[in-house]
Amino acid sequence: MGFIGMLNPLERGFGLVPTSGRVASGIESTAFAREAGVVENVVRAGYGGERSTNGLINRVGATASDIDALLSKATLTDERAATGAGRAPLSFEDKLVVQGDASRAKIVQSIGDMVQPSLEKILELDPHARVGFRGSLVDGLKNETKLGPNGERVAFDGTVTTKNGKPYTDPQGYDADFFIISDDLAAQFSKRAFFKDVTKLDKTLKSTFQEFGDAMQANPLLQGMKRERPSFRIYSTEELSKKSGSQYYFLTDEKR
Amino acid sequence: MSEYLINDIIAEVEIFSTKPLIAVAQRLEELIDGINFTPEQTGRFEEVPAFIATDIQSGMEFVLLGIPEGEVSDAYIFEFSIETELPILEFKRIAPAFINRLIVEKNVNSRGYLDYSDELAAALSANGVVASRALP
Repeated sequence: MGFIGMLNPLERGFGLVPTSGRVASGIESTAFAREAGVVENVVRAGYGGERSTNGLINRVGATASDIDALLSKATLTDERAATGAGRAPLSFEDKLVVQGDASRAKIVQSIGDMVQPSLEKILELDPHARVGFRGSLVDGLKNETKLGPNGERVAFDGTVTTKNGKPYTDPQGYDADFFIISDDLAAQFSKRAFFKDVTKLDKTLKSTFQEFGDAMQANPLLQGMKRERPSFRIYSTEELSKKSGSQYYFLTDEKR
Repeated sequence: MSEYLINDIIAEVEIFSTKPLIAVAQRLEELIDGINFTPEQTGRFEEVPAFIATDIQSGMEFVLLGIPEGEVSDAYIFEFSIETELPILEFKRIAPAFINRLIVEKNVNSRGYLDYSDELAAALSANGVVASRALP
């Protein structure tokens, strides 16, 4: 599987990223992936825009030149590189993202392992569907509407004090916005349905997703995750192409 | 608990968006006794604005989904759902009166649900809320 249409710019962190050209995996090759031992997976998964034959996921959104720029920043987390000259200082947001990279890599790896039964069931509905997730766990930061006590951006697993300027009282924690790209499945919903939940197409998916959610909740690595049954939202190719932020894509066991 | 012992009741209709979402939510509260809609703020539906309500007695969940900012549409989506171990006619007795009247015995559809979309659309339309089954 290759290029996912016209890709969207990453907002922050690994960010930058114009939408043209070939895709690449991104900054994970150092701070994010190296510490978690998934460097090869992530780099192979993304660089050049081709789906990995043994990787976990495919991060899309960057051109090769972007990756060079990103790696330049990323290596600041490496002590040897940090002493070098000529590196651009990391912004506050970039530091937040980089500091969370190791734990994010482990979380993503765990989710990639636990999602397999759900993935298989979804692919029974459409073997050509692409499944992944987006959101703060991918970007490393919560969205700009959720801020910390001093009005600062918050890491994906940070504590939110305000949302849209008002005190935040909902449960803390992060989640993953799972999605399915499938024109065939999207076509089975009304065009007026903006949130297309795949369980409406097959009731049995509910129990599969519940088991997936239970497995995630039982995993100590994911203790900061919100406790809810995961839902998989269907997008047509066109719909997802309009979304900002980046995405991770799951690979099935047989392709990992 | 075996999956096939659970009745999975669902309905999904479109309501024309001639009024603001909150006004439609208020009208639905009037029709469906005992429910109170609140804005969904946990991000469950991501950028899609929504009101949710749960009927305490039956456990039924009601969701009214709006139109995301920047999108164009002429309808909202209104749905209810419940997973229950009760036989359908027993469940009918504890459902809100508005829902009670539209529940009949029927077979599950090809997706495994007892689908009351047509019945809900008809009941809403009969009460002045023009609605139709959500179709592709």
